Amino acid sequence: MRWLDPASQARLKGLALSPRRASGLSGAPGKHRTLARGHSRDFAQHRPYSYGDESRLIDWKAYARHDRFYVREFKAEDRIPVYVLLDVSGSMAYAGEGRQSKLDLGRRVAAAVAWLALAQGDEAGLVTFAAKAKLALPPRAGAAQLGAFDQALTDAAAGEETDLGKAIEAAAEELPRRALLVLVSDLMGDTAGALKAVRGLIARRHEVLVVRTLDSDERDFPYEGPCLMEGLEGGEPLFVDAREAAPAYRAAFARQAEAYAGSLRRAGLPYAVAETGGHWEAALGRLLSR
Amino acid sequence: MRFGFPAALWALPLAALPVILHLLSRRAARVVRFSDLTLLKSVDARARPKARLREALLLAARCLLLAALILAAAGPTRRGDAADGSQSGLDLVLMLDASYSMRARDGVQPRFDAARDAGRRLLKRLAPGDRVAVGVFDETLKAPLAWGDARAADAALAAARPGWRGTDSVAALRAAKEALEAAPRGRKRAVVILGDGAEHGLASGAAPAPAEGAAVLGLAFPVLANGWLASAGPSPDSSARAPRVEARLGAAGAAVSTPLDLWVGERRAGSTNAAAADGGEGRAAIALPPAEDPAAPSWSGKVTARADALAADDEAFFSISHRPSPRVLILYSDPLFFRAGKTGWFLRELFGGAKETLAGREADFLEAARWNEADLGKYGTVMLADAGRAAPGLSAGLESFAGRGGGIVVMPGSRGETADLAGYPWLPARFGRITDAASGIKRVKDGDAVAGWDELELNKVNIRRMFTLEPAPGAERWITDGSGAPLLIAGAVGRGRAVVWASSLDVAWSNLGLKPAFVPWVRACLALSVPQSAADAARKVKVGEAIIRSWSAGEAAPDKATVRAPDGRRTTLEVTGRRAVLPEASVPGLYTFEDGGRSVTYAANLDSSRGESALLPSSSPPWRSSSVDLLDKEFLDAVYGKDLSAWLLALAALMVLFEMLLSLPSRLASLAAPKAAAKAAAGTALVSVFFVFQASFPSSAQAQQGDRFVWTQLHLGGDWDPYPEAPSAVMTWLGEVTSVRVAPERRAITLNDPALFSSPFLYLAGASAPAELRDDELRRLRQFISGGGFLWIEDSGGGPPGAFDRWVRRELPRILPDSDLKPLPADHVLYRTFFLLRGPSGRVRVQGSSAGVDWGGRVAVLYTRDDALGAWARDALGKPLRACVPGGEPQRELAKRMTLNVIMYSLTGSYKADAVHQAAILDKLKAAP
Repeated sequence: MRWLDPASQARLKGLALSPRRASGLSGAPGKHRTLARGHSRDFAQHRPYSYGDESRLIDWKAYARHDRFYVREFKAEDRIPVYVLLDVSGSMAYAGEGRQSKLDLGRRVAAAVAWLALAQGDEAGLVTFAAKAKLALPPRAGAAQLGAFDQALTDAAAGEETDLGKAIEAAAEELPRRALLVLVSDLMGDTAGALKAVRGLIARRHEVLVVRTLDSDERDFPYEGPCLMEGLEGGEPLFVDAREAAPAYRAAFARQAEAYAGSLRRAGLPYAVAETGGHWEAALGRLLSR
Repeated sequence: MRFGFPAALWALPLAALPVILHLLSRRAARVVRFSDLTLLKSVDARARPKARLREALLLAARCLLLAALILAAAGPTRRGDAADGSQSGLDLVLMLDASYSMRARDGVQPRFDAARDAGRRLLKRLAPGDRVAVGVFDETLKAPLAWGDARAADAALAAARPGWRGTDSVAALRAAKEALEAAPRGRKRAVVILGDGAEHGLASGAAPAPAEGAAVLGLAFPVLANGWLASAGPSPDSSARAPRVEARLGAAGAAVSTPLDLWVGERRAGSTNAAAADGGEGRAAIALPPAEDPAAPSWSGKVTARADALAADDEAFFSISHRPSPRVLILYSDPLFFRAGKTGWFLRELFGGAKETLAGREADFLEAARWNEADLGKYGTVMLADAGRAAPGLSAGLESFAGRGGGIVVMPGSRGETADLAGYPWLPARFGRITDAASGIKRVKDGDAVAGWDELELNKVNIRRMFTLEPAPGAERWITDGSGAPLLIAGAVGRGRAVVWASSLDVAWSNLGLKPAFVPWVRACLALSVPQSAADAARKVKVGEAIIRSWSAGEAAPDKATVRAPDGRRTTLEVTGRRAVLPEASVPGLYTFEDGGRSVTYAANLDSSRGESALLPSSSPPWRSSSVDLLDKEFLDAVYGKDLSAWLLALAALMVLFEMLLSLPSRLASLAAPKAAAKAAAGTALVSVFFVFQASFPSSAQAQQGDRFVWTQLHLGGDWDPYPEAPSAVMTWLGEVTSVRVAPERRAITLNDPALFSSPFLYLAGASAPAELRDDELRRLRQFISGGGFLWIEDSGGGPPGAFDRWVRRELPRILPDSDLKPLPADHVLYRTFFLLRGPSGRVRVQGSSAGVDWGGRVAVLYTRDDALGAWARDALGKPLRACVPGGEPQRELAKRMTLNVIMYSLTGSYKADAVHQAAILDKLKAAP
């Protein structure tokens, strides 16, 4: 396991990935309740017997008590696929001094999410998006999926320039049915476009959790003096006097962060920020405990 | 602009250094790999124009600073008037104006002193190698110019005194120019005229061009109006009998009106007023007192006007002497002398008799035969009005009379014959035969005696009969008839004079007596008969001229004469050739020649005819004018050029300031920028204003709250906040599960906070006992509860009842005295308000944990010891902080539901107790696991 280590496993043990709304998909059993009455082991309620019900569902003890036929109804369990949408654009390759790159952080988060999902018995899949979206790993349940997930994460390489909004929309195309999506991205780019794309995801009735991976350099802008800034996503290098540009940049960054936090909170989406230098497990824990 | 060190200008390209450095720094910028440039680019695009402008200004300021410093180091001077010589020194000519106009006072100090002090100040500015020549001038240069050093020049200036003469600045300039041209070349040259720059000083001609390469400076004084007495002398109608002195007043700059005082000797003898217009002249006459010596009437003294700025010209001295006017003796022999139409008749009319004489002298008439009876010494002139045959001894007597200095006027009578008139051989003319005269008379000689005759119509005077006259040698012909035959001849007889008229006043002979020319003719005859003494002619001189006293032939000339000057000093002069000469009257005043008994006074006056007293400055003097105070500065500017480096250094300092101001924002970039500081200041002001308002409007906190539910926790005691993050989790779940709109932040207040009344729900947790509640706190709590508020007190200790429990049970009766704390029944509506619960639950399950105080039909205060909030507590990873005993996670779920129920109870009350809900609730209860 390259991207999942026992320490993180220990810290993340006990967290549960659960959607807010039940997915309504009947069929294969999973851990989650649905309102639909299906076949599981948990008793939901009694219902008066009506013509056509299976006779093995009749609760004879209730008949003995009430002298009427009642049918047992069970809570339906369901399976919901968990997709990790991993941003592999060029900006994710940024690594601060002595820290892992954002992509590596994203991979760890993805691995943790996959492990949690698979431990719950859900399916886990991986979609990577840069300029184009790719279904790197189709969702499957089971312990073997974790290894494949790990491998798929290793194979995912940082790509080129991304238009974040379009990329997320492209990723959405890869998702066939309702799923629990964990979006792991640095969200650096067009704020409005990204939020629109996320709302598009919700409109498709996915359940979205957003993890933003950041480096502290991006927030603090700790450079000095005249600098020629080159972007990892290509484009024209920019000459700035770092000391003069820093306050304005920090203000703009803070505004963008607040815009994301506010918008996502208003939309009711769990949102957490994981930093490359800090404890990402805590952020993930907060995200999943909502 | 010239430069002292042009070599420094080679460094000028260095001024472009900042630009070069800036461009290089761009190149040298390090490359930084950044993740995403979108934000940076948008920030940069916004700030770019302003940053670019500031950058450009900063660069410009730095370049200007360097350029200004380099230029200043090159020693720039604006070109002065002096030629750019070598550094070998300066030749300076100082010309000090010592004319009397420099005695004028501007305020306290005479201009002479001010100019001299300015010159001495100037001398202090000279370098050791400089040469100075000092010249003191008025109308001429007092001494030739000689070169010396500054100390000698200073001594020469200190010794100079103003004089009494006029100004000739042109001559001074010329002399200065000659002196400079005679000096060796290669040195700087300057001429400074320390005068008042008056117009009159430049009137003598065009100023010469300055010497080659010389700077010429002069002083300019403020305009001063001046009035002066131009002269004092006998008025035209003054005579020995009615002496009057006439003073002429001049003014320049302003009209002058002044009282005039007459001083004769040492006493004031009279006064009058005089006025003169600006640029004009005024005259006033004052009567003199009678002469002390009637035989030689003379007066000397001065006329003074009111002293103004220039006091020296406000007095004029005079020395007046009139010829005495002794009586005239008229001898006649014709018994019909006085008959009308005869000579005597005219003469008697003329000499007045009882009336005033028109001839200026009194006359006595006497028959010629009785001439012996007259005392000839009493008379100054004897007139033979109709000379005929001389009485015995008359001719000789008259001759000796004339010889003694008397005057004779002879007119032939109408009955006279040529032979009769031959008895006077000493006359200056001999009578010839009687002829007819041509008409009209002509004056052929000019003199004082016949002054003013042009106005008389001499051609109307008809002489019908006359004697031909043969003038003796040396006689003067004064009047002739129309054809040139002499009519009036005057000549000397001994010490006196005689005048001969060729005709008679009889109407048969001429109509002279009837004509207006008659009176002047009589006066002329009388005047011509009086011997002129040379000393009478001019008893006034101008300052600086010599005074000559000469003795006439009749007087005894001494060997030596003493002159007393106005300052009292006496000088003894040699008398040579009957003349004593005082070489120079240097001071205005009265000079008295004393010899023996006689003293003759001469008046020496300032010569104001050159315009010296008009102090008006010249409008375009041929030099650079400067005021007295700024002379040394102007001198240095003119000779050495104006030093501009001070300006350049000031520019450099300004650029430094500019640069500091411009780079200030970036210096404070890391700290709170001035903009943020300004925002903070504005914000503080606004907030303080807001708090003022808030003090008067306590409900504004509610306005902020809006319709959101705020978890309000009471800050009371030490353990009031065991689970700081739990309320926000409660709020989140509340917002999700119910339709309550929540505020995410919890509010912690004290009992004195006005926000107490903004929320219907109040939570108090504790483990140890807080302080006892004060009366005002109790009152506020009571107000809160009676107003409809709900207080939930929780003992978060979770164990047996402790100090907090005792405190609660003690305080609650104080808060609500009329109600008790009672346990809640198991079917209390609290367990049904949202979730259907079997009983109270929390982190722990304690027996008999729920108790409440009823008030107003509802539970107003709920006291639990289950620590329901503790079930919400999470650690940093989001895992539950405290385990729920004994039920574990299901108990936690129940605790959460309990919390929600309590909140919903506080918000909605007990409506779930209504009957309509009963059946459904019962059913659910049965079916619930």
